[in-house]
Amino acid sequence: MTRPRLVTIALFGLLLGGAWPAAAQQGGTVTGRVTTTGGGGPLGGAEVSVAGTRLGAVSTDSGRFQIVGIPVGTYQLTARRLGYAPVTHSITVRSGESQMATFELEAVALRMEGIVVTGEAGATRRREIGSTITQLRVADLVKEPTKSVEGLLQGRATGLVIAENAGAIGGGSQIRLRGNGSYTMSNMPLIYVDGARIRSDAYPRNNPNSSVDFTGRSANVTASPLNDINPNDIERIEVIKGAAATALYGTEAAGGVIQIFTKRGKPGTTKWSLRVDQGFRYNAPFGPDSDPYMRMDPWMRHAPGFLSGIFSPGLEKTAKARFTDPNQCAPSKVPGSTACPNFATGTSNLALAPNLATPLTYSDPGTALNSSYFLSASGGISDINYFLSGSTENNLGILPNDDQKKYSVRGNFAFDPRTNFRVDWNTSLSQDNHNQTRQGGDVQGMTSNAYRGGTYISGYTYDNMNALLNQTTENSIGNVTSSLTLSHKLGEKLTNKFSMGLSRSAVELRGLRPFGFRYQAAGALTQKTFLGEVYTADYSSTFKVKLFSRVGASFSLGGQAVDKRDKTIEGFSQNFPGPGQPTMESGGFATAFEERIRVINAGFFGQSRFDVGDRLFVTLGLRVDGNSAFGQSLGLQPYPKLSASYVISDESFWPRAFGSMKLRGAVGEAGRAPGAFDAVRTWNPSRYGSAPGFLPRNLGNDSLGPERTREVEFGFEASWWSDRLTADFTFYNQRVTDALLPINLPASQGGWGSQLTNVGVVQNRGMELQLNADVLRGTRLGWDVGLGITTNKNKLIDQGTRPNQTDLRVGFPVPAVWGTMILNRREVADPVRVLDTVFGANQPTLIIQPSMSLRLPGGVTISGRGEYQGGFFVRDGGWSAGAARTEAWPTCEDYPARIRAGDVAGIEARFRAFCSYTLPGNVAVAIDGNQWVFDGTFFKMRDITITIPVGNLVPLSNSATFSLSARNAIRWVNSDWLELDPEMIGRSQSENTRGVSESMPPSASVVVSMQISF
Amino acid sequence: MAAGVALLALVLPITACSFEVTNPGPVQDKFLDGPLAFDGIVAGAKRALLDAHFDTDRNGASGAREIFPAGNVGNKGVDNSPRVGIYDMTVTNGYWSSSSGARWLSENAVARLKASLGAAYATNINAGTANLVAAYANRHLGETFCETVIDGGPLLPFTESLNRADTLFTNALAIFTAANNANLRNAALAGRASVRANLNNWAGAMADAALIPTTFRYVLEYFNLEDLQFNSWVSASGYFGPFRTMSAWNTFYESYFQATGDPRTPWETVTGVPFGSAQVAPYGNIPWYRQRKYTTGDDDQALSTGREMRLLEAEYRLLQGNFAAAMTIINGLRTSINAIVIPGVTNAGVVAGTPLQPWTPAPTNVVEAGTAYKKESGIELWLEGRRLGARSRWARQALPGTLTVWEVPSTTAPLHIRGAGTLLSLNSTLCMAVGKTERDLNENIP
Repeated sequence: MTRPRLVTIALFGLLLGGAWPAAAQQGGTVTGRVTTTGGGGPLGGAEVSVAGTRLGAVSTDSGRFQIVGIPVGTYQLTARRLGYAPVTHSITVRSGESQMATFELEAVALRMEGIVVTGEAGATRRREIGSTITQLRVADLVKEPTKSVEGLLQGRATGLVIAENAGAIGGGSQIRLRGNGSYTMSNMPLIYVDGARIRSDAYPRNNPNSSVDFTGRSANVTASPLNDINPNDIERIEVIKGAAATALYGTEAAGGVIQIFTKRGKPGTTKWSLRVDQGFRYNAPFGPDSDPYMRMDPWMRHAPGFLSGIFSPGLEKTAKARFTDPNQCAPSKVPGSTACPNFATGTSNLALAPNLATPLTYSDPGTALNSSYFLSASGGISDINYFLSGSTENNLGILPNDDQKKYSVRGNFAFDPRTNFRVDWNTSLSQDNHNQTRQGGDVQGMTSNAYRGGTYISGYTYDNMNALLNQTTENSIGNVTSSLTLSHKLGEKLTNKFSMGLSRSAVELRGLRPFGFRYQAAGALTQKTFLGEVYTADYSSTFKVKLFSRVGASFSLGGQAVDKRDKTIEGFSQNFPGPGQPTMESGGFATAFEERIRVINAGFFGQSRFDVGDRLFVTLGLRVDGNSAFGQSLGLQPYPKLSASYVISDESFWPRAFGSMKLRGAVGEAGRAPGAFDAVRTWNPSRYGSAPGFLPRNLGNDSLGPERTREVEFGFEASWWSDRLTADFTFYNQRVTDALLPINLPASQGGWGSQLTNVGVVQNRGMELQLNADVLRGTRLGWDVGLGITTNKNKLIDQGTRPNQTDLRVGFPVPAVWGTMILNRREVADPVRVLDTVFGANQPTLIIQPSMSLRLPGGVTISGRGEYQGGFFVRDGGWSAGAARTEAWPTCEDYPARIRAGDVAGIEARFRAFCSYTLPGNVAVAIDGNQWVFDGTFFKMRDITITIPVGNLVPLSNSATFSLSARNAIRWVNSDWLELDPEMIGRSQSENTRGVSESMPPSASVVVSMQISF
Repeated sequence: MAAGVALLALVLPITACSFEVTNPGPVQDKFLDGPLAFDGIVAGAKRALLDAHFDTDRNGASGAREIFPAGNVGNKGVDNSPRVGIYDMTVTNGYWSSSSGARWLSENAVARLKASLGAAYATNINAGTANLVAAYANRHLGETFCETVIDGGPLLPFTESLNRADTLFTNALAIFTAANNANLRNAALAGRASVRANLNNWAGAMADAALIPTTFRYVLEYFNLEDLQFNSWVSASGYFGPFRTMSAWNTFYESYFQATGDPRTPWETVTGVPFGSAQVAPYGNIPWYRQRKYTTGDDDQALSTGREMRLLEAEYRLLQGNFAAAMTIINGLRTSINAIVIPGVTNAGVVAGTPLQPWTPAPTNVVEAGTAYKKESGIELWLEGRRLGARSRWARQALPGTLTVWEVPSTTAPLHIRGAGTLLSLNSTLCMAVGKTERDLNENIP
């Protein structure tokens, strides 16, 4: 048994010892059931509390609850659940007796009554808020087996885009809220967990420092801090998308805020929850019909057994067929060539074809099995509520060296020493150890050499390719995130809240080419140690007062300070003296690098909210910030906001037939700070031999300030027919002023490259519409459908004196996807090219998210969720890079040789453009690297899940649920798209562009899950 | 009341906070103004010159057919257009940026030291070295680029760079003379001689060259400390590494080395690694004949040598029509070195350790002598980033003699692959255009 498992068991053992006595307390017992009105079935997750005590319970999935140890007496018993009107019953408890209580909760307009925290000065009813906010009750969603928070969020909310990464295990996703607002700064949203800020941007990539110039040596993906959080620990997520809502977060919040609230214990006996997930990953074909896996098939893990033939058709067949003769390279798709991919028409280099005598021992890379186990316990003892959990995961990726082991533990404690004072202490520890296969532009990686036909390894042979697997890429990510929150209420008028948070990530990245590695015999080692810390302190105080009979007000004041510290130490060593496990000092050549970056952002805010008749709310707020990255001549920066909300359906003149309706509008500002070094003129330490020297690094800018995003949004939230149809509509218009753009400097003025300047204006606008309908709401049958529609139009309005160049052009998206356009792509003709043309946006401009849930008799549920992303363009950097190096790119099939021979019959213009290297007569063609731009429009079924309650079939359990889920199993891409996947992003999730690289495309997965409550 | 107190408690610390954080690592500009930084400033200028040569030389060597493209493009590779000898503004941004940046940085170093040193400037070795590096940076620009731009100014003829080099060499010469540093003085003299030859100031060139002993060598120093300081030619031809980007195959030097064993143009084949790292249409995989002039990452690359001075003296004789005197110098250079044999390379008839032979048959006129001279210059300066500039100079000054067939654009020359020709475009050029980015950003360039 591994040590983490022992620790987990020990924790639960301790818990058991402490929690059990609570069940044995003297007094009476109340048992009962919570259901929805109208025969809607059992309602899990409802909180049932006994007024005047700290006793309570949470209903199970079957709606049942039990509260023990209630002192004798008469009490008000209340059942509450988000989205339902609370119901209170009076009960009389007698010693040793058990009372029954049944609650029927009626669904209410969630948008009106739900409590929101994010973006507000304190807990606020949704009806009071003038901007849109997405709330996800994750406890309901995780019946769908999801391994990551990113997967959980994907396709869930309008305005939120989570792009998959390349198909390497451990890779994070790119997150955008309302598109790209910045060209130079991060567009990732801020992320908070229980009030503690965590790192938003990706962890460093496991590759050598750029100073040694081997930056491609990697799996070329980055891990996401968001995925340090176990989805099973999450109670709910709040997402606020733009500056109108994020103003109170100030300088760094223009990209939106995602706040995660983890589960809290509820009063009552210990509730155990066990979850077991088992599944697999796979890749469906991603190449042309003639080579559906683009030569990667011999090294791809797959679905188990016969399922492989279903999910990855032809994979096994092509893998085995590819290497039939140990003395030859695989068929190269080049007519007439049986040697290593080589299209030469002459003789001299063919004569040098390698004599490959390695016997062929084809081995199946196996199945990409994934498993995870999660156990939690929650409850309350006296004044202390607790939620404890532990999990372990063991995942195999698609590529042979891809594997992952993850562990996490969490302890959330709430302590109520007084009825008006509460202490919350939430802490999580996670450890993610994953190994990766090198790919994605690593010239000695698997994918580059497969796609290019083994150009770098002197031939695509089974043996040559297998030798690449002797490199290791090890990643270790440990994170601890802890928050302490003190909440104090003075009557109903004054609330104070103080939070402190720490998120600390210790990352160790190691890449080794061992001594004897075929392609670097003396070996090489990269070691990168990263320590990222984020400290948060947050205080807010809200005072509520009744000004007049129908007019109330609340006044809030507060402040926040965030201190981010990144420390990176890297080493690179090569040329080892012999075999063995090397360290940095083993190499004949070794060098080291260090980077320390600290950024402090601190500010204070004030907010006033006035309400009239509890239906019209007007909010004024101001945040004032300072930031250590600002230029020295820049002072504190103000970010105002103004919003209004009007629950018009509460007015007497509003016909009830019109349903409930809230109108809202908001305007606010938020910012993006420049980078830590951007304001200062600096020089890079460098060397000329052993002599240290200075090279230009950054020209600096004394007046550098934040980008300032002003956003106006308005819309409505409505529901009709007892919430059977709900609508949430928002129009937003962001204007980023002082956008930080690089003002490029002529090289003749020095090696500064560019100067970051607050010179740009970017507009970002669109609309978001979410419709949900209960088409069928019956006792045994139910059918819910949903549709989210998001549009986003982004363009550069002004860039001062900066000339239009490449991806920054006035009137076009930021960044614009540009290149050489082939006007007659699908015609059978010679290509007609237009150079230096803007294709369009790089982020989707239209997103459609359909969803549905079908509830069948017996509580069986079938749900599905899809996502269409359209109106964007992606550069296929993999193909363009490959084209400069080989004719053997699989998607070109046999076109290069045919074109050279003058046989162009039936070849479309796009292939004549992409696959022409020479024309008849051996006239060399200069390869235009800018022409590989493709329409990225696609649709994916993000999730299809069937959930089957199995009741008490599991001994000792309260309830159990079995589910089967497939993620991204169905994909449609537009006909312009030819290979890999349009959701792939570059080498880091923090990059501002999407782009295809020479990587594996993201994989799909199938998971079966069993959740059991005790 | 409580809220007010809270606000006060909060606001006071924040407004009092300076938010000033000094992150270590990058060096702030103010620290470069004192004499303690002078060594670093000069070292930085040298490094920038090294960086300028790193990619520019290799891509220039491709168009000059000192090497044949055999592998990847981009980093340590030979880019698409330079494969066929095209250096238009769309492909030269990187080369112009590093080369022009080296000039700016070294001239900035000169200005910074001049401003700080006062009277001591005239004898300060750092000041002299800054001038010397700036001069070589300007020579590199003048020999490599078709035009030049100084500090955001207008497009100027390439001779502007050569003239600046001349002036800076002269300044360096004065300082080293005053400082009594003979080696650096020779470096300035030799550099100035090559510049003056390019400026058609042959009298000045000969006067300087005559002062340089044949054994003299001033080099660009490569180091094993970090990969980017590795000798560029070694990086691009890494043994078993991914960057097998160039080959002696299908160049004049392929058969020349086989025939002569000339140690100035060595190459080898590598067992088990028959091809370069990428295919080049229409040839397919390119046989990898790895250069062995440079064998380790810290092999230095010559900037000026006494042997180059002798070549210039021969060239001057040829321009005067005195081919016999020219051949005496040329053959003298040849016979002073001994042949080598590399296993695996067919050095038929070559005996290691025997002196190289004079050019045979002996030229009987200035054209034949010029043809031999152009070969000899290519051999002597092989892979030193000088061939494009030399050929450009010969074209301008109408030096007699012809180039080898490998160096002339052709689609029909029967070289290794029938019909493939040299893969040099008919639009190939002998100099690189100033990069498009400079043209786009510089308001003084229409």
